[in-house]
Amino acid sequence: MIASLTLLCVAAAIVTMGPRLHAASWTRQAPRLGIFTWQAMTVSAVVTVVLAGVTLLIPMTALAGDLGAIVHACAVSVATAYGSSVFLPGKLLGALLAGVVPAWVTVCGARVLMSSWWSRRQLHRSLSLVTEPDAALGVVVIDATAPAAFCVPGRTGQIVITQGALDCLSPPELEGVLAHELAHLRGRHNAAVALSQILAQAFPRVRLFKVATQETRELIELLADDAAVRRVDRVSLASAIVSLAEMKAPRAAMAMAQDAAALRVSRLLEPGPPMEPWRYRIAASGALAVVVVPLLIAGYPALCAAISDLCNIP
Amino acid sequence: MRPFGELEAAIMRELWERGEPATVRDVLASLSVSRKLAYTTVMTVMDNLHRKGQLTREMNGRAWLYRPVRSRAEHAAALLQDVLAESDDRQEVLMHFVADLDSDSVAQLRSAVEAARRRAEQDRGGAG
Repeated sequence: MIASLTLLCVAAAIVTMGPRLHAASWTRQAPRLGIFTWQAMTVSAVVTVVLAGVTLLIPMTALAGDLGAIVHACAVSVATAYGSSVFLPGKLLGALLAGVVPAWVTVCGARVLMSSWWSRRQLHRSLSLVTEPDAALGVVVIDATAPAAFCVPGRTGQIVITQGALDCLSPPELEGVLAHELAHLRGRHNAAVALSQILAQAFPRVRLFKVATQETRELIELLADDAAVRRVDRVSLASAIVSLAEMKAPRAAMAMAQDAAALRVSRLLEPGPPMEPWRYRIAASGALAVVVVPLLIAGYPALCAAISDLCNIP
Repeated sequence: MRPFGELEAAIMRELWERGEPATVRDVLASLSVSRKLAYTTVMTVMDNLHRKGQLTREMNGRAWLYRPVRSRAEHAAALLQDVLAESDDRQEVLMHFVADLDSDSVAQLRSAVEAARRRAEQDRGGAG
């Protein structure tokens, strides 16, 4: 009972405090660790709730197997260690958290993955009619004058660039754009987006998941920029961002997109110092703790019961 | 925009490559090089494309002459616009290099980039 309650408190803490990471600036210095931390918090929030349900149910499952007196005694001691609720509401809540939550996440996951697979397939088919592969660049070129570049991830992932973009970008700018898109494909950045998307769709009321999705989207762009500046100089990449933005027909743009692009450009032009190693280590341990602590809380009573005399199976 | 079906795509490609109006029989002759197709199949699909507004046709003697409403480049431009418009919150489908910006912020960013470029060139000049 105590373990279950503690786990529920931990989950509540992650869900309420998690979105505050949005204000931290270190995620922009270390985008990979930032993405990992957001993913750790969202996954852990769900896993912790499920674990709370499992610990509520433990006596029922442990006592179900009638495998002799020793095992029985062991099971009783495990059940006592968890101090699990013998009341029906506790069992019901346990079944709800341990059964319904994973099932719902699975359903939403299948829905998100299927729909993005389908959209990508449609997109590949539409594009194949109006694009020509350019083997030298490793891209497909779409016969359009508007300058644009994007990539379609997946098993048959490809980088798509318009003829207009090829015409207006300088060679280093072009190389920067391609390196950026290649980093998206190689790094499977879409998987991080999809994971946060699944949880955001499964639990639309939970703000943490919405913030995590938005942050993940922004951070994968920074991560891809970081990969690109290993190949080209920072000013060329920044210039490519502006070139592709300014050649487009002006449209009502969202404030969020403005900020994201401005952040990318200023980060390329005035790179801050890298994150200090000690701060990096603290942040990384924090992210790990978010994952490990709930597992420890859930496992601790079992561990205690296991090392008690009753469970010393000869 | 829904993608063309497989045969629809082959027909559109054929008509774009020809660059001139063609009858069902012309298209059938070209497509039959690589596969076996019935005249009625091609006729039905081309008729569908006409109904969907992708092809126009005019009577020439006893046969319809078909021609794409939009050129390949026009189709590409329309597709691109469609794809990018709905891409902004579907990054798992498509990751766009840079989202839409309004002209003010683009101008601001451009001047920042040019300033940085001048600084970099001065540094290089100073070093060299």
